Amino acid sequence: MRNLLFDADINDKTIFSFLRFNLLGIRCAISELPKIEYDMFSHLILSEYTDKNFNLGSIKQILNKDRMKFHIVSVHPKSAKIAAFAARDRRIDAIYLDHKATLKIFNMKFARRLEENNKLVILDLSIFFNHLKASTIRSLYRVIEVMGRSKVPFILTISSGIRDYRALQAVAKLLGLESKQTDDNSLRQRIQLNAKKIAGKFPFEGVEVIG
Amino acid sequence: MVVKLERRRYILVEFFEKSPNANSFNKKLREKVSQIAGELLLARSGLSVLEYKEKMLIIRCNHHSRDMVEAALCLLEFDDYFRINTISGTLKSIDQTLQEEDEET
Repeated sequence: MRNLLFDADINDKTIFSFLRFNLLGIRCAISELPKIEYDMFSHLILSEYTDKNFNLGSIKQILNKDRMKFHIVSVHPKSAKIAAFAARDRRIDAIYLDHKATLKIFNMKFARRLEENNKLVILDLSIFFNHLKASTIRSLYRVIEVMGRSKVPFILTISSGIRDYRALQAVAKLLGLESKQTDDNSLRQRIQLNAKKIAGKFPFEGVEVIG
Repeated sequence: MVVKLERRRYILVEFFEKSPNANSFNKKLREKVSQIAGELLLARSGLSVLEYKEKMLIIRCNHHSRDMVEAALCLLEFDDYFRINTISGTLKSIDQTLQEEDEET
């Protein structure tokens, strides 16, 4: 339970060993394709910030071209159309949720759809660490309350500054998320599965090459 | 049977470089707790900070306010890296866990 998704300078290993990280994640923009190392996984966020022409067409294009270069691909939904696509497409692993996402679309129905399609919800808690305001937290809090009723697994993350997993879980408790729901086993399994896919161990759907 | 209504919790905080002054850290933490949960919880919590060994501090609070203090500690703006090492009900068990960690390393 000591894994975390974040974008940080991974050269400074001493801090990470102090904070007891086993697995490091690196976020990247579409233009920056990282070298995938043994103790590191790559995470691509499709959003307005990483792609200037962010729409459904560009998402499909990127997925066709670059999906196999990343362990985890998540979408930051700008509209209901994109959110619906992200919920049903198998190439997308997670929905990236923060206070800037279009939060109106996140209702119980959407949460059930995510649960059916085995999607993860990556929850950015950096709002708590940067500027704690009731007005900005309110909208995010409502969504988490609704989605917390379903069994969608939440992965906690922070986009700026480094905190350990325990710190993020303590903040998630304030939001009313249970520790079971913020377990990162689902993320670990997903990374392992996608790493196999990248290595070419699944030549056809449902067929795995062992050995 | 006499039951304690309030049980104490000791939170061991470990710093990356150098532990700060206990009083200044206490002041910052109290401000953060009151910002998140209000003065009433702060009054109930019985929050205090003790100096402990090198690069370490112990935060004392009661078991009702433990989650809130832990969250406030995590949201605290601080220059140095720090993490919560252990949370315990007695100072003796904190010593024991530290000894075990030393033996492991």
